[in-house]
Amino acid sequence: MALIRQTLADTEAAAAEPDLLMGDLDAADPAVRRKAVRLLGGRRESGGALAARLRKEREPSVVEALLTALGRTGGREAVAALLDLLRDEDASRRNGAVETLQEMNPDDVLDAVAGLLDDADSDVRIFALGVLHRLRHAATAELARQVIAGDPHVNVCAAAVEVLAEIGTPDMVADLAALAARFKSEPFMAFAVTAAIRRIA
Amino acid sequence: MIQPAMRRAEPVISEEDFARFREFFYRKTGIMFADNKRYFVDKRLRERMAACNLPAFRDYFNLARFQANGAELQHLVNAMTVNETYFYREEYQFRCLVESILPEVTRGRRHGETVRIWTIPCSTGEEAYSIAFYLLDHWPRVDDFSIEIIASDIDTQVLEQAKRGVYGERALQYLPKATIARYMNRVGEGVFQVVPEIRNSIMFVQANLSDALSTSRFRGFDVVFCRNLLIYFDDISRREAAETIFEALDPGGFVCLGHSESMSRVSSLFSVRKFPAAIVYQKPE
Repeated sequence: MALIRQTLADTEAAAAEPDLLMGDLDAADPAVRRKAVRLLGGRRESGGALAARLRKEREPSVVEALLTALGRTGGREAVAALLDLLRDEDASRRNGAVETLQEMNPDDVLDAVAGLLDDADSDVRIFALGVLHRLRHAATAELARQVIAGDPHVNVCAAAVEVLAEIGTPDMVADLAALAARFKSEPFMAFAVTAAIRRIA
Repeated sequence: MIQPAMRRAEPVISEEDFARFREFFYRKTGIMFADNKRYFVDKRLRERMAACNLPAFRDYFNLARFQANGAELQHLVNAMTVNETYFYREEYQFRCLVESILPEVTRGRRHGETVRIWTIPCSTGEEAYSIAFYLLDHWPRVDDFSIEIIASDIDTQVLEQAKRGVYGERALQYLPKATIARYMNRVGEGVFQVVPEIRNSIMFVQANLSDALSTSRFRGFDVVFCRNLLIYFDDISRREAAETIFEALDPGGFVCLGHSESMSRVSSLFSVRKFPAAIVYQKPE
C-alpha cells in the first residue's frame, strides 16, 4: 500500500523562550523573524518589541505576521505602531494597519483613532474613518455624524456617509440632508446621502 | 385558539435591511447571498431575532454588528452555513488533487519519496479517508511515492471517532459501492468501518491552527486541506490560521479551502492557482 505513517517532529521548546525570541526578531532570515513574531504574538509584554520591529520591517511575509501578532496582542504600543502605518507610503502596509485596527479590541482603539479625525492630512482622516467603519463600537456612528457636520473635505465626508449608511440611526437623517446641501455642487454626494437615508430612515 | 390579531407579528425585514445585512455578512464571511436566497436568509434572521428576543431588525443588526465577543455573529454564521461532513464532499477538489496538484508537486521527485498531506479540521475523519480512497483509486502514480496523510482537529473526541473509522450510510452516500467494498468492512446493519490498513496509515493528531507553538511541528507538507473552517473564525484568528498553513507548507505547496472561502480575502501570502477542476492557493516557490 502506498500510504505510510510517520511521526511528527517534536516541538522546539527552547524556541518559545521570550528572550531568545526577542533576539530572533532581528535575525537575517525572514523565516526566523516570522517564527519569533508568531510565537511572541498575544503576549502583552511583547507589544513594544513587535511594534518596534514593525516600524523597520520590509519583508511582506514578516509584516503580515507582525500585523496579525500586534492585532492579537493589543494594547497602547500596538495601536500606536499601527496608527503610524496610516501615514506610510506603502499602500499594503496602510491597508494592513486599517484591517488590523478594525479587528482589535474597540476600547483599545477608539480614542486613538477618533483623535485622528482632526488630523491635518485628509487622507489620514479617511483612513481613520475606514477603521471606524468596521470597529465594533456603538460610538462610531456619532463620530461619523460629527465629521459630516464639520469636515471641510468632500472625500472625508463621503467616507463618513459610508459609515452612516451602515450604522446610522434615523435621527441622523437631518445631518445627512444638511451635508448634501453643503456640498450641493458635488452630484455624487447627493447620491450617497440619498442612498444612506434610504437605509437608515 | 389564538386569534390572528393576537399572534405575535413576524419581524419585518425590509429590502434595505436585507441589503445592509448582506453587505455586512459578506464582509465578515465572504459569503454573498444572491437575491433568490432572500427567503433562506430572512427565515434564519427571524429565528435568530426570536432567539435574542429582538423583534426589530435594527436592534438585532446592532447586536450582531457591535457585540464585542462576536457570539451572535457566530450564531448567524452557523445558521447560514451547512455544517455537514460526508465522504467525497466537494469531490472536485480531490479530482484537482490527482489531476493537477500532485503531478506538479511530484514533478522531479524520485520514486519512493514522500508526499505529505495535512487535513485540518478532520472532524470525524471522512475527509482524511476520502483523500486516501481517492488517491488509491484515481492517482495513477499512487504506488510511486510514500504518501503520508496527517489529519488534525482541535476536538479530541472527534479524533477518537475518526480513528475508529466507523460510519453510517448517510456519510457514505456519495461513495461508489466498489470503493466501499474495497476499503471498508461491514460491521452492522448499514454500518461500515474503514479497513485497518488504511486506518493505521493515517495519523490523527490534535492541533489548533491559531496556536503558533503547538503547530510548529507541522512542517514540510505538500498539500493542506483546510475546508470550511476559516469561515468560523474572526479575522485575526483567520489570519493566524493562514500563517500557520503557510509555515506548514513547503515552498510550492498548495492549500485547498471550502467552496465559499477565499484565501485572497484573508492573506496576501499565497498565490491563486486556477486549475481545470478547482481554484486553490499556493505558497510561492
